[in-house]
Amino acid sequence: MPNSGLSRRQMMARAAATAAGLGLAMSVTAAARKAQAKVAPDPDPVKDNETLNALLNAEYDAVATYTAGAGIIAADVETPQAVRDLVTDVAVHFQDQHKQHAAALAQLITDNGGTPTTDPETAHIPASFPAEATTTDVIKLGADKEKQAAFTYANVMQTISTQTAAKLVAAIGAVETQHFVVLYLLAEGLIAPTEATAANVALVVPAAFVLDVGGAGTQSLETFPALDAALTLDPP
Amino acid sequence: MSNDKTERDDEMDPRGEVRQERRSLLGSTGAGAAAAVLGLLAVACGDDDDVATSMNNPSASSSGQGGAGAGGAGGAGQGGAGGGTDADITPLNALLNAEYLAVTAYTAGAGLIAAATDTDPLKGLADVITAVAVDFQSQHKLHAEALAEQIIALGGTPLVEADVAATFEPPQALLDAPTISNVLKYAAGAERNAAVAYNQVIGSLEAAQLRFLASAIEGDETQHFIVLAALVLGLAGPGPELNTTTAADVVPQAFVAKVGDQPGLDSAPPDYFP
Repeated sequence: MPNSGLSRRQMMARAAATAAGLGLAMSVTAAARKAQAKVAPDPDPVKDNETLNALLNAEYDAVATYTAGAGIIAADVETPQAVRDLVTDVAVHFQDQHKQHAAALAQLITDNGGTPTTDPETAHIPASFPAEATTTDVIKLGADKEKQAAFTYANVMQTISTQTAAKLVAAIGAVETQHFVVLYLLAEGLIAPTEATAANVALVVPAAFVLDVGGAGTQSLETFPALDAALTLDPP
Repeated sequence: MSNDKTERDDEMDPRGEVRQERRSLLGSTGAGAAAAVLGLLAVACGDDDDVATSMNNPSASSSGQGGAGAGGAGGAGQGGAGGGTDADITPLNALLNAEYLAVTAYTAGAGLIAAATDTDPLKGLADVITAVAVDFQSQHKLHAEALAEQIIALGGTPLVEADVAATFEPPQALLDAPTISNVLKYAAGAERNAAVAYNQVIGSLEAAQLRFLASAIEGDETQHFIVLAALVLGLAGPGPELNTTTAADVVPQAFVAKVGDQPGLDSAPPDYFP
């Protein structure tokens, strides 16, 4: 990182001067904002519902996949029970967050005047998935699904037309990425559980949404006092 | 499955040349204004309803992570004066400010990790933690490049990295206790706050293509967050395959989806069950 050569006092003075100019700059920008913005595409909540329903279907698939995965893990007697219990607990936690995603998407679709698609309660399992699957296979399947969900949520942002929908889609998609990376790192042996993991599964991916979305009982990264406390820097 | 990399390098970092006096080190490199960007980004959201929420985000204050700070205001001011007329230039420059501060913070964090005392409980993992941090930093640089490219395309003027870095103010709590654990906590908090800020900006960006870019970056920041948080909160430890070489695989892509020439998770890693 380049050293600016500025003293702390000089940096503070520069920042203060810039901050003083901020008010004017921001008010000008705000006034010009709506008139000059290039909005593409035109906001169309009804059209957004097609995309939102596709995402809702993906959430239903994730829920069903984790249910199927839990059954596979339960039958995998070759894997130690403690490992199976831990992976199942994580899977159930992730599944619960997908249920919250589904509820939020369905609510927005309804708010947009549409009808949420119904839950087929069927998991789409790829043909290459082994018939005699192990707990590790379930972790890998979960990683695949979460990865696909993650880039799908990002890609649909190119067609989502309203800021409200975009905000929700982003708030969910960035949680799928966390699910993915946790499962991927476990599958790759890049991370390993600790003695504390089993007792704190709910903290593995601690929030179902990045931003508050208003649903009862939902947890977001935005407002999370327990996480604030956990990440408070230790005193000397 | 895993790579065939056998090196497990968790020896103490021997880079004695970076062992400066702590306050001097922070003063020159900036240990952590990444969290401070939250307030800045909220300002850049303009009329977004979430401004008050993010400005008062308890994590920024309770963890000693700086809050909106002088650096943030400076960056936004420059963004607003960026010369463009498109409404999205200012929030994009605010995000760019955040990325430059993140780059600065990781440089400083690496210095603090190298300077940690031998009694630091995480000293044995210093090299691999630094390797992960350097990889995360490289991803923030790619984010910055992508944002700057869009700002130029809109007719605006991207912030200058050195100007942003100069606005950094390290949190006192980190100055007082520059342990590896505190570096990780600070970084985790900063990545969390950046993710929240990106999501708020998405709620105010006018162009769908720019919302896509911000979303593709936000999902990367949340991966950084969860890795750092899991490690520092003891929810996960290094796995058998983690070493200074595989550290670059921990968060495998800088973008969730392909952005321009930059690959996303839709490019790699490959599916286990295609």
